Amino acid sequence: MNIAVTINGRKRFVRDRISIFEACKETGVYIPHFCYHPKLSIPANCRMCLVDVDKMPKPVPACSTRVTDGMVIRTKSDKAQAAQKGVMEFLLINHPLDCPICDQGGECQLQDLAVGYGTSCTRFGESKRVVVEKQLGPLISTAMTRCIHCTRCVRFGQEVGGDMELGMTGRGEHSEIMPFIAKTVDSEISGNMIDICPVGALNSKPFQFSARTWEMDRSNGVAQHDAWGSMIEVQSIDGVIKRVLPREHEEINECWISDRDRFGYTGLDVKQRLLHPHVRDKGSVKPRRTEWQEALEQAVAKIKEVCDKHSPDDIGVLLGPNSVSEEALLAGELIRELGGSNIDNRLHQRDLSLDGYQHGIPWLGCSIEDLAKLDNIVFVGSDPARELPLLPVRLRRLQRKGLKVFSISATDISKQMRLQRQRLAAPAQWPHELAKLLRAAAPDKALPQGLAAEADEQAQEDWAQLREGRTAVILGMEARRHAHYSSLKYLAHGLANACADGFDGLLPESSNTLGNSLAGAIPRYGFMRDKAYPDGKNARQMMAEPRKLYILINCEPLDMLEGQQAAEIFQEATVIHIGGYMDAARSYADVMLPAALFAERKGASINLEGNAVTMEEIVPPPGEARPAWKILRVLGTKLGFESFAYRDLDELRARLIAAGDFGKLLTNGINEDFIPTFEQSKPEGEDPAFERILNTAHFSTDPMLRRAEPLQQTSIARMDREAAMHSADLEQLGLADGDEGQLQAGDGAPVVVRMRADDRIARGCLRAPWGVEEFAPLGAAASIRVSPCAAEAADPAEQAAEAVAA
Amino acid sequence: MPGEIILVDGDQTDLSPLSKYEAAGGYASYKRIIHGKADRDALRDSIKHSALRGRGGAGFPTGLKWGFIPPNIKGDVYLVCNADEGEPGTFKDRQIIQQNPHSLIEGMAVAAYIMGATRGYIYIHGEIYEEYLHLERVLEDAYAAKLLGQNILGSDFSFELHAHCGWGAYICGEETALLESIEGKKGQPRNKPPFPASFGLFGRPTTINNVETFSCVPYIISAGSDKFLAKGKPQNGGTKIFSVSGHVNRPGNFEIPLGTPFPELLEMAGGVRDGNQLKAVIPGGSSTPVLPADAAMAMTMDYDSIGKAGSMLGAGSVIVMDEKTCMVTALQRLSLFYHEESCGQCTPCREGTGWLWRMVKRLSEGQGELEDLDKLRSVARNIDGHTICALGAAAATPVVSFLKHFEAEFEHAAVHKKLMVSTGYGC
Repeated sequence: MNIAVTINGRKRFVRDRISIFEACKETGVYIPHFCYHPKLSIPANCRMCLVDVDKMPKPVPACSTRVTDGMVIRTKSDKAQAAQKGVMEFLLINHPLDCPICDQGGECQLQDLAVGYGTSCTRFGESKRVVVEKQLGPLISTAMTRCIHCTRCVRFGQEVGGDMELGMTGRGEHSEIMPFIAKTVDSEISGNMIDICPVGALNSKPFQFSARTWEMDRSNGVAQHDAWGSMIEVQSIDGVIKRVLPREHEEINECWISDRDRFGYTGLDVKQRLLHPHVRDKGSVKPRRTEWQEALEQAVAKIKEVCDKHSPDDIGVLLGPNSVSEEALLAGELIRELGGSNIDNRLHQRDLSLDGYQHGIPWLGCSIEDLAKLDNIVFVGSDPARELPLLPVRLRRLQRKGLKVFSISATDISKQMRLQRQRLAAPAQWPHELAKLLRAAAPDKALPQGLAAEADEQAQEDWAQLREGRTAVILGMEARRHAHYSSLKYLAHGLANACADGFDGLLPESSNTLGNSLAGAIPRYGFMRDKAYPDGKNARQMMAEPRKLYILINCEPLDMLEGQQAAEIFQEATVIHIGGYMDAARSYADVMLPAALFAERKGASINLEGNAVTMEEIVPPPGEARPAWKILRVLGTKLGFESFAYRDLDELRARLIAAGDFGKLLTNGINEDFIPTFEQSKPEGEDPAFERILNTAHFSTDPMLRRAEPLQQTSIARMDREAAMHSADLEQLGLADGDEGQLQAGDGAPVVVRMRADDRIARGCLRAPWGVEEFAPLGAAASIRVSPCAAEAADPAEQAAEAVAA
Repeated sequence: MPGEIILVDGDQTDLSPLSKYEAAGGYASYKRIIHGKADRDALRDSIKHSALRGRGGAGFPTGLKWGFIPPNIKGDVYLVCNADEGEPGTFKDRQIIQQNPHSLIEGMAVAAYIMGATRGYIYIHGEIYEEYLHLERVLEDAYAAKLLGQNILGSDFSFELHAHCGWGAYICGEETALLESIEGKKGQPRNKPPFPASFGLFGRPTTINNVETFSCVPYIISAGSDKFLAKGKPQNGGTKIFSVSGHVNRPGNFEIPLGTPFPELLEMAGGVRDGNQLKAVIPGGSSTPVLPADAAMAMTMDYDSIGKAGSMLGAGSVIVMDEKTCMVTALQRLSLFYHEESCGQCTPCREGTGWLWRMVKRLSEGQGELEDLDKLRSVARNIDGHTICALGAAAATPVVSFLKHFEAEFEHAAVHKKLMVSTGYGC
C-alpha cells in the first residue's frame, strides 16, 4: 500500500507504515543521523534527524515518526536546519578536537556531518568533559571521551549479540558507556561494535594508530575462518593487510562479520611465518634454508622414492582448513596420478564409516536466506555461537518471527537462543536422545543396530511440534567429532524424513570443506568424477595405519582429531609441508615449501549453503611464499604428469566447474538400506571418569587463527585452554573454580590444566576442546579421569611440559 | 479558607484512619458503584462533565484521557498514580497522602472500575519516604476492609493496588520514565507515540494520573459533577491545591477554587515576608515561566488566566520572590537542578542543560560576558522542543523567562561583573 507524501516540495509515493527516515532514504533524500542503524531498534536519542513536518509544532525525529497520508515533510527548512545544527553543536561541545590522531578520522560520521551542520568556530567556552577509558579486552580499544551516547553498541549487544555486554550508566552529562562492571566484551562478534560506532569511541585495537583510512587500498574478499562465507573488505597499504571489514551482503552476513574473520589477518604477519623453502638433511635436526629449485627437487625425489621402494598407497595427502578448491583439485589429481588415493580434508571427523553410503557432499541443506522459511530447527551436538557465530545472530532474528529451536547437546546453549526444548545430555547419550525423537516420529523405522530407545513424553510433545511446518535437523561440529556420527546422521536423516516438510543438514567444519570435497580432496571420489578412481584411505585410517610419506597442505597436527598422535606419526614419516608456518612443521617436516595464505593468493571456495565465490590476490605473499596450487603444479610437472601443464588459473577453474554438477552433488542423502551399527563404548579406565565434550576451540580452528595473537588473548581463547565442568562435579572432586586439575585418558600422559566451574555443562561431563595444544595429549578420548593436583606436585607448567614431551 | 474536597479542614485534616474517612462519607459511592454495577460510560461522562483537568502539570482533561483506553480489551490494563513529586516548589501530593490517602485509593479504585484496570501502582518519589511508609499502612487497612484485592466486597470487581517507592530521580516523574522505572529498568523516558494508553506498563494499556487528580474523583462521584464544576470556572472545574512557598509569611498548601485571584492566595499565605515588595512569582513549579509582580497580581488562579498571563498553572506550586531576590542567583540554582536531573538519554538535554548552568553560574560569579545573554537564549531555544521528553523544555523555560522579564539584572552582572541585587537569599 503506497501513500503520498511531500518531501521537500516534491510529491512522492512511499510504502505505508514506514518512518519518515526510511521514506526519505527510499526517495534519495539524505537525513543526518547517528543513533539510527537499519539493523537496530530506534531509540531516537541523538536527535540529529529532526525534520520539519506540517501541522506539528515541534520538529520531529525522522527515524521514529511514521509517515501518514498527505504528510508534508521538509528536511531542509529553516526550522529543520536550526534543529539539526543545534543538535550538532551540542554533540560537538564535549567532543574532543582530536580528529588528527583519531582512528575514525576520515570515516567518521560525526566528522562528516560536522562539515555540513557544524559551525567553523565554537561558542562553547566552558571546559570539556573527560571520560575514563574502559578496558574491553584485546580487540576493542576505547576513547570514551569521544562517545556521543548514541547507544548503538548497547543495542547491538542486546539485539544482535544476544548478550548485553555494554550499558549506559550514570545520568545526564555523567552518562557513560561501560561494561557492567569492569568486565571485558567477550562475544564472538564483538568487533562489529567498532563498525557501528559512529565516532572514534570504540576502535580496533590491533589496527590502532597503524594507518589512515584514506591511504588504504580496498579490495573485496571472502572470509576464510568458518563455513559461513562472509563477505569482507580487505584494506591494505603497500601489500600489508591493515584491517578487515564486513561487506554488506544481506543474504549471507548482513552487515556483520565474526571476530575470527575480522581479526584473523593478524595471524599473517607473524614471526612463525614460513618465508623460504627449507629442506632437512639426513641426520640433521634443524631444517636448512634453501632455494626453491632444491626444495622442489628434494620433494619430488622423496615422492619418487616412496613410490619406487614401496607403493603410492604409502603416500597420504592431508588438506587443512585454510585450503581453497584449486589446491584441493591439484592435490587430488597429484595423488591419483601417482596411483594412490589417500587424500582427505575432513581432518577431525571421528566416524567416517558413512563414506560410500552418502550420495554426495553433506551441506547445510538449504541456503542461509531460506532459514527464514523454517518453522523448527533441531540442533544435534552443536554450540552454534562458537561454531558459526553469525548463525545464532540470524536465528535470534528469525525467532521473533516464530522460529522454534530445539537442541540436543552437552552444553546449555539457552543463553544464545530461546530454546523450545533442550535435551542436556552427555555426548554418549545423544544417539539415545535423538532415537527417542525418531521413535516418536517413525516408530517403524529401524534404529541403528545395538541402539534401543523408547519415545518419552517430551519426545511426543516435540514431535507434535516438529511434524507441523518446515523442520531442519542440523548436526553440529561436536556431532561431527562424535564416535557415532554415522548413527547420529542416520537418526537425523530419519527424523527429518518423517517430518512432513523436513531436511537434515550439517555445519561444515571449515570455510571450504564443501569445495575441497567437491574438488577431490576426499578418498572416495570416484562416484563424482571417474568411476575408475580407486577408493583411498581417509584421514582416520591414515592415522591408524601410518603412511611412509605425508604431503601436508595447510595442515598441522592440531588440525587433526588427535593432535599428539598426529605429531608422533609425522615425526616418524617423511613429510612434505606446504603451508604458511614453520614453528610446528620444523620438528617433523623434511621439505618445507612456503605457501601463500588467505588474501595472498587467488582461490575459490564454497560456503555451507553451496555459494561458490572466488577471491583475488589482494596482497603479495611474503618472502618467497607462493600459492599452494602453483607449488603443486610444479611438483606435478616435475613428476612428469602431462595434465599438470596448466597454463593458468582459468584452466584450473574450468576443470573445477567441469568436475560435476555442484547442485546435485551437494546432498545430505544416504543409502536407504544403510543401517549403522551402534556399539555403546565402554568407559575407558576406572572411575571417576568424565565424558569428554570435544567442542570447538573458537579461536583455534585453523593454523592462521592459532597464530593471531590478539585473538589468543581474548577470554574466549583463555577459556578454551582451560577444562570446565559443572560446579557440583567439581566440588565432588574436591576442586574449586580456578584450581589446577589433572586430566588423564586411559594410560596416556596426564595433563595439568586450570579447572573452571561452568554450570552450563551437563553433569558428568568435562569440556576439553579440540584444537588447542593444552589438550592434545588427551587425543580424542571420550572418557577422561580427573583428579586434583597433588599439593606437593611440581610446578604445573613444568609438569604439563613433561606431559607434552612424553 | 479551608478547602472542601481533599484537604477538608486545611492543615488540620487527618482522614488517614479508615473509620474517619468512612465517617466523612468516604467509600460510600465506591461501594454503591461496584454493588450497583454502575454504567462505566455514565461515570466517565460525569468526570468529563466536571471539567476535571490533570493536576500534575499538563492540565489535560481527565475524562478525555480515560476514554483513550480501548474498551473490552483482553488482558491486563494498568492504572498508575504519579506521586513522584520532585520539582522544586511542589509539596502537595505528600500532604494528600499524609492527610487524605483514602481519597486517592478510592479515586484510583473508581478509575480502575471505569477503565477496567486490574492492577494499579502508586509511584512515590524516593525522597518522601515517610509518606510511602504511611501509604503502605493505609493500603493494608484498605485491603483488610476488602476495599481492594480480588472480588472486592463480594462483587466480581477486582483491583490490586501497590505502592512503589522510587529512588528520587526527578525524571521518573515523566510518565514513561516512571513506567520504565516500575518495570525495573533505568528511568529514561520513552519515545511517544506509542502513548501509554496503547503501550504502557509492561506493554499494556495504561492510564497515568497525578495524586490530586485521583483524589478529586470521589467527590465528583458522590457530590456530582455539577457541584464540582460550580466550585471553579468553566473549563476549570473544582478546587486546586496551591503550594505556596518562598518569601511569604505563612507558606503551605491551600486548597482553593480555581479562579481565585492571586492576591487572595497571597493573602492566605500571610503576604510577602517582612512587608517587602513582591518581585516575581513562578506560578506552577520551577518548570513554568516566571512572572513579574504586576502580571502575577492581575491573574486569577486557573489554567486559562495563568496561561494568558504568560505562564502555566503546572502543578500549582507557587514560588514567591520578593524584592531582595537576585534573579541571576535564583536562575543559577534552577539550572543546576535541571542539569543534575537530566537523564542523559538524548543529546540536547544531556549536553545543553550543563552548558546553560555553567553560563548562568559564570554570570552569577561575575565572570560572564554580555554575549552570554544571547548565547543563553539561543542554547535554550536549541534545547526546547528538540528532546524526547519535556525535561529539556523545563530546563529552557526558566532561562528564557528570567531573561525576558529581568534582563537588566543579567546585563548588570555581565557588564559590572557583580550582581545588581546582593542583599537577599543566595547572594
